Amino acid sequence: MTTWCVDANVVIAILLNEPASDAARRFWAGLTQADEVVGPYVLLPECTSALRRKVLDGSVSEAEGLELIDELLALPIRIETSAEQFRRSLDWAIRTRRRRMNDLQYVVVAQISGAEIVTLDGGVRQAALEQGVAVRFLR
Amino acid sequence: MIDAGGLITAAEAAKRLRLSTGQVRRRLRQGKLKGRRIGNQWFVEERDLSALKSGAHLVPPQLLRRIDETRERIFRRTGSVFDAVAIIREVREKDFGEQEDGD
Repeated sequence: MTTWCVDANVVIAILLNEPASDAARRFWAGLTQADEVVGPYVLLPECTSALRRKVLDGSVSEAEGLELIDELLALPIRIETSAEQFRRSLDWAIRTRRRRMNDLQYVVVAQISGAEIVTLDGGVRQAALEQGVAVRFLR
Repeated sequence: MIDAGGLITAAEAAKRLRLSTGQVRRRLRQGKLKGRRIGNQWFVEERDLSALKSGAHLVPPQLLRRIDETRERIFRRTGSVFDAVAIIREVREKDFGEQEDGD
């Protein structure tokens, strides 16, 4: 069994047409019941905000936005709710004097879950590799 | 380790699925594996284990088709090609107040 920690951009890439949509779709379609997908607590608020922004800028209609949120919520993602993800992310951010903590939460949840991180973002990829977390980079 | 009811222990299921027993128990608690708790021990339905090992899709094909249809419909209507990384970066900076390191 493999556990995958998905970055929000991999979720958005299957919902909205973007250059990596085919790669994102292949990832989601290739998962079997022997796989598990996890995400940090911040995943759903990030994806929801992304859809809200696209509805507000007019590139997605209100009805489509609501369809997309239903599809997002139907994806089999286990949201990690343990307090440990916040403690470890904060500790890491303080030690390395980083201003961005959301990225770190993905890496920390991957560590907690023994997961490989799946992302389209080179910054998240780099942060994961620094921590010895395996990465599937879909770009 | 199979009982008359077609149940196997969580430890045996973990061995067959190459998981830890903790991962099997978590899946049972989440309802992702069918089984039951007898006393203080979890048991897994062997039939469900076979489905897992058969490589059944995690994301139901009908859900993928629905997502494809919505994505394609939006693309046909708007012609928009999005940038998922930029969208999420914008959310992190503007909605979560995160700043680029080094700013």
